[in-house]
Amino acid sequence: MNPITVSNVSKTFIIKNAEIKALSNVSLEVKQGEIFGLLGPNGAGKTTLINVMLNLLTPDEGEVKILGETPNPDVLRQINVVAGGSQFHWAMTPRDVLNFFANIYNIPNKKERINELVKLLKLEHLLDRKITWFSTGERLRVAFAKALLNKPKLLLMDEPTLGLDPDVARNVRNEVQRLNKEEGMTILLTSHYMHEVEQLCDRIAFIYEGKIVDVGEVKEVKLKHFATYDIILTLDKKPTTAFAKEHGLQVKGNRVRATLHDEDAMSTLMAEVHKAGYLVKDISIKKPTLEDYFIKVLGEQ
Amino acid sequence: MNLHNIISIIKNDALMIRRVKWRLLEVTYFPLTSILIWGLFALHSKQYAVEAGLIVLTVNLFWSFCQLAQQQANMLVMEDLWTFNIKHVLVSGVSEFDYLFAKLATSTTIAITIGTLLLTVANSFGAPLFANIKTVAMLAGIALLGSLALAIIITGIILSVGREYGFLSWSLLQLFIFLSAPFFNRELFPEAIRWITEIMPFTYVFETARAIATGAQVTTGTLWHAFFITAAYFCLAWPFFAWSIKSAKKSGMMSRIAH
Repeated sequence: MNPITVSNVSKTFIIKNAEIKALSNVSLEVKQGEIFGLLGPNGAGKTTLINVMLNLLTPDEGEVKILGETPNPDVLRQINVVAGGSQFHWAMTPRDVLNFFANIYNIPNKKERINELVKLLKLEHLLDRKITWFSTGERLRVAFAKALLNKPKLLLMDEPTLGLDPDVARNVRNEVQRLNKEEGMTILLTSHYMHEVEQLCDRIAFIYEGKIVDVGEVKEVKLKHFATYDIILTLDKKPTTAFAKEHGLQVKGNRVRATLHDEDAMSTLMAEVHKAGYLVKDISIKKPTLEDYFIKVLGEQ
Repeated sequence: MNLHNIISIIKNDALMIRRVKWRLLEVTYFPLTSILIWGLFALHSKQYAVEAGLIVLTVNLFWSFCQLAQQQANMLVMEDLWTFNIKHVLVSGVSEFDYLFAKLATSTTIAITIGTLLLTVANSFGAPLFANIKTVAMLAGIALLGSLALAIIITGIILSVGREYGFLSWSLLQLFIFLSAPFFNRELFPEAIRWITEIMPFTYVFETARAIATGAQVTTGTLWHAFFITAAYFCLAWPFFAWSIKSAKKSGMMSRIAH
């Protein structure tokens, strides 16, 4: 059983007599234990899809199954969600918030679990301070602690690092990886930070104007749009024209650029360079990033 | 209905009220000063017409009680909307019904606590309330039922059409009170709209309150009439709330309101 199965989901909003197609026949599956990235520009339908999963929105057509069931209170108790910009009642303290949700989730050994999370997210010194005084990062740490209270089987993360300092964002990413690896937690992540998605996700789906454009492993979807990559070598001397022609190199002084199709081609080229007696002084590989992919797909659409 | 969730929310609301300084004072301040003003008016008016002052005082007591019960429930919901706390609660497996039920329970507790204080103050100004405590208690129960029904309806409206309709939390009751003919006989309304008073939840509550204030006989029939109308409101409010949730989830308002 997949933690998330979305089958042919469509949703249209009617705003001032205008129809806005938020989701159009969306289907996807998130497998047990994977980190799945949902990419797309603003207004593409990412949050709408998450809202359907959270039972805050009813689709017009199709169905969503979370842990094998249509979203309902019992299912929601087994999963959790953390969103960037999360807010809590300003007058409450993290201790109040965590106690409340530990009660709601009926957490056994409530105190121990809260202490564990407080330590993990470095909330010790903030525990009894009113949330009104918190920075965005501190608030997110509280939201994270709340989201992990029930040891969710599935964690939905909607732009979790939005507005965070780079060091805090890195801690969040490390924690996501740890949860996934050590606790086998399935994670659905939406993010505008492509390096984050590239670093964390096993598979991604690209959603645009409510439609899924691509689904697959990060490498796979990139390869679909970028068949080649470039390698730039700085040699100890300018290569001969014959050598450059034979290996399809563009030469500029002692720098050469090659466009390669697969990983093996790089080792072959390096071997040939070595065989011809050139010394490689510097090497730079220009592989397409997920950001390149994002921009290209957006352009194509 | 999940009692565990309901109790957790009530406890959290109680904690929130404790954490927000002046909150309880603010909730008590307006009805208490209002009862004090009308209590003094009742004393002052003794020399002119005893009953007028007592009518105003007794009706005000029930008015304040209704306002506390309805407004506190809706304000607790609005506070969750303003602080975005509602999303965390609704996605944690708490049903919308458990959520609202908890808010109603908290507001009922507040209304009964402060209402008892107001009752004591009003009685000390000469309103014959302790002398008719059984009827007063029954009438308070009926008024509570009608107020909670309005709180449910208002919550449903806010969730289905948006938080900008939050103003209904502190304004809608006023219209219902006006149309329930609080200080006067409903025959004073133009004939064309008099029928409305018949279906207002508080018309017979205020009629009975006026009877208590003047020492007139309270008929069981009037009490039953008041009960049936408020009970009907209460029974119809829940399906309306269910419909509102369904419609809010369909229109997307529920997800917008929760963010």
